[in-house]
Amino acid sequence: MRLELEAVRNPDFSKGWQSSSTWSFDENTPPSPQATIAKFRKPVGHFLSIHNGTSGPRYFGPTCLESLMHDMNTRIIQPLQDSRPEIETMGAVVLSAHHKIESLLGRDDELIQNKSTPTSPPYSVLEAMIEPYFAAINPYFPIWTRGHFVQLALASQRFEGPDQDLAFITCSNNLILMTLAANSLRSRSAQQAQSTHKSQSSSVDFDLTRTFLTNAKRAIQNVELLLSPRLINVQALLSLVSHQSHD
Amino acid sequence: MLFGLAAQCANSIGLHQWDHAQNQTSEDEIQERQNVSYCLFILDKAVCWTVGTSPSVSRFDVHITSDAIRDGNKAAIDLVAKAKLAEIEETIHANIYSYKAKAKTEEQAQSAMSKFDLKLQQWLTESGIDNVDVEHTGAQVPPAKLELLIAFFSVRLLLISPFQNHELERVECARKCIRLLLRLWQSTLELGQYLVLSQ
Repeated sequence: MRLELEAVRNPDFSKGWQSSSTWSFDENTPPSPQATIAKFRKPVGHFLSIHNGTSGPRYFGPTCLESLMHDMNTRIIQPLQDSRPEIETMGAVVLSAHHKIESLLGRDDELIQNKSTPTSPPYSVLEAMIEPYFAAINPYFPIWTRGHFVQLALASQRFEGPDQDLAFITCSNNLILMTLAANSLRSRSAQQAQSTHKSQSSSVDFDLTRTFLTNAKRAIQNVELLLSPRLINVQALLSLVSHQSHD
Repeated sequence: MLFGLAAQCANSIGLHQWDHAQNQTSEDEIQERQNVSYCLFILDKAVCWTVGTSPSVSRFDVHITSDAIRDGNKAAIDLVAKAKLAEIEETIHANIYSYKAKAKTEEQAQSAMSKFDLKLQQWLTESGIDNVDVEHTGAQVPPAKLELLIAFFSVRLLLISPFQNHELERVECARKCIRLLLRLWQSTLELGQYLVLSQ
């Protein structure tokens, strides 16, 4: 009976038993290392219903934000909600942080209603963004090289029309988006450092960024057009993933 | 899903075989392919942790080397460092988080942690950031080094988080990570660092 229980707890134990022809059943024999209970098992995630409720539960791995929030709710928030009054202040702070993070998770990506393909960004905007992007941003995550990108940009300017390369349109759109996003964060940091109130420039930044964000979403909805074996397609897809993780 | 498509597209053009493409392509194109290969490999681990899937780009398929770096290019050196850290992340995932990760006894857990701690320490030394005093907030540390340190502590946190006996160490590691993030936010940042912060 004791041996059966060990097998249930530690599957590796039973494998050792099957392969050994000299296994002893003597209870006075000291337990082998395999009989030691394995305390540390791999972290598991959670099956959770997503916010819009249009499909069944999704699986989120143990390091996903959704899983971490679920664990936070179970292990910290729920006990705090039953807490004594003297730790109410701490509870309020934790709840506030929890709500802020939940609001990030609850944000649904708006779908583009029609399946229109992304449009080429204005060349003047692209031209203005190339230098700051390659000087300050690309070195940290070099999806493109400056020389090749500029070559492609000049070629695209010569051939404006409906047959423009969708991959390059996606790349140029996302280059602009990444530069705008970084600029927006930097101005926010500068505002915080100077303790100034939010200026109207933040809403201008948002409006400017929204056009390129919508364009990026169009590229995602038409992703099947970016799958042929070309380096520019890999770069376009990589820039879309990078945009999604920064969104 | 988007990343999976990028990885498949990369395989279809032999992206990670950039060192074998030398007779067919120019030096600039080889450099571009190497960069994209490393970016894909690094982003693969980030996606793995945030989405909860297994890595799509195996460390056995990517050739990570500093040999091709020209003229001591600092950005290229940092990119290789990040790729080498991503290799360690992948082995941590395989050993601790993957579906086939075996349950561990106390002794096995200690052994695994020591093995990975040694790899992480070696990486710190090779990256030239093992001499940074994390606690001394007044010291000026270049943003690029802060970025690598944040990455180091993030990976260390992933290593020790599943082991319940290391509660204090886990909290201390998380505190260092947050302090470094705040230092990066408050320092005079170059534009590119803001993308690191958002990651």
